[in-house]
Amino acid sequence: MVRQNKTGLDIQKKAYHTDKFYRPKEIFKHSIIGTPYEVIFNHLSYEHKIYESYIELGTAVFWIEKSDLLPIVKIVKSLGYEILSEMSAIDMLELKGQFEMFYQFLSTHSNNTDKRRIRIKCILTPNESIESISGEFRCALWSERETYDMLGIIFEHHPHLRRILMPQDWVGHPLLKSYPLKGDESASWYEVDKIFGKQYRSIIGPEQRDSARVDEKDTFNFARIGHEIEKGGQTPPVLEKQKSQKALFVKNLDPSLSKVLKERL
Amino acid sequence: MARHEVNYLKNSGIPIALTTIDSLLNWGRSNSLWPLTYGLACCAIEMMAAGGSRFDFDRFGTIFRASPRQSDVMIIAGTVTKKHAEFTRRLYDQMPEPKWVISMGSCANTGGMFNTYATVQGVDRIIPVDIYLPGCAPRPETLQYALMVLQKKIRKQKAFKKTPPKRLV
Repeated sequence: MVRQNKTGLDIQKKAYHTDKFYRPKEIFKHSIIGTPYEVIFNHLSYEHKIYESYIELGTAVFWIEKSDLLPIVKIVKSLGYEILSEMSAIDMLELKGQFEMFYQFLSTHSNNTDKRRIRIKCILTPNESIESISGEFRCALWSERETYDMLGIIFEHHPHLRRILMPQDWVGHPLLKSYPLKGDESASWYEVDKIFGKQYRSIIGPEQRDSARVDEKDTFNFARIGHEIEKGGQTPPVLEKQKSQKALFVKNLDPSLSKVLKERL
Repeated sequence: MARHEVNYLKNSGIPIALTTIDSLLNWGRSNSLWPLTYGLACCAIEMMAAGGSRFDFDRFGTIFRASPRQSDVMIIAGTVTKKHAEFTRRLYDQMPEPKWVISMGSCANTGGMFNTYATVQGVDRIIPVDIYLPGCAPRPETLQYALMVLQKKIRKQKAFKKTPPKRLV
């Protein structure tokens, strides 16, 4: 059965995460009260404000204030969570107008066997910056650079916050949902501008993104299969042998009938 | 010790071969193509296999050279990202003339399946390519064949003719 398309009038203009059909199931969230994680919650909520806390797939999640991040990370580290296994941001600009920062911590201490993983989350509005936690966790040096590179979030007091995956002079932040998958204008000309300069754009032409394309007007590359010659070269005469020995189902090409165009039509 | 006397007249020949300078030079060039090792992705594994003993590029006089300064042919094996494009071009510029380029595999030819913002959609946007080698990834035999096609192309050239700058795209 074909699914009804009711809302998608101009789906191409929308950010691609607003899939009109797919809606992931919400994960069941347990209460943190009465579980081993309650100790952590008590430690954190003693001085800092915890907006929300729950257990999601065995991981305790704490929503905190952005300004409390660094002191809370220090507490978490002192409680034995000494591995920052992942950190990044989620682009929720389309849905909520904000980023969600998340920091996943893992403990390997024996007294934390029943409470291994916790996640600290906070909300960041697009123009805000956030404190770097690279002083506590050195692996955050790279993760924060990646988050900056891909989402454009600025981390305060990071020792060298520069791009890590994309080139230094890249325009835009590719992991934003608003960034086109195939790149924007400057992305499509990046290597041409960088190597040859902007004046070469007209000579090299736009990117050809359809790998299955055959250019019928192109008389130099593949359109003269069997009779390839170099540019400006003379078409060789048909050999007598080739004319006489005609294989089954194979059409002998007559190069004299083919044309070499001076320029593309 | 016995003296070895060669009787040239016995084979009704003389120890002289007549040829042209063009074909002599092209023979030398085509039979000692030193590729710049330029492996970027999975195609590079196939390229390494072609250099290994089963396929044995050495018998073509083809020895992988880890420097652009003495290389004749650049085999671009794999996906060229936009960040990398500048270095690819720089290495190509460092190679001495005459030089040739084999674009190995779909990624180098057209960007392949990486139809994204970060991949160069065909290495011929930045350097002129002589042989496009299709496949994902092409087998070592295919690379051998591409090399043989390139040798054939070199043997057809005029050795001293000033070649016009090669076409991009």
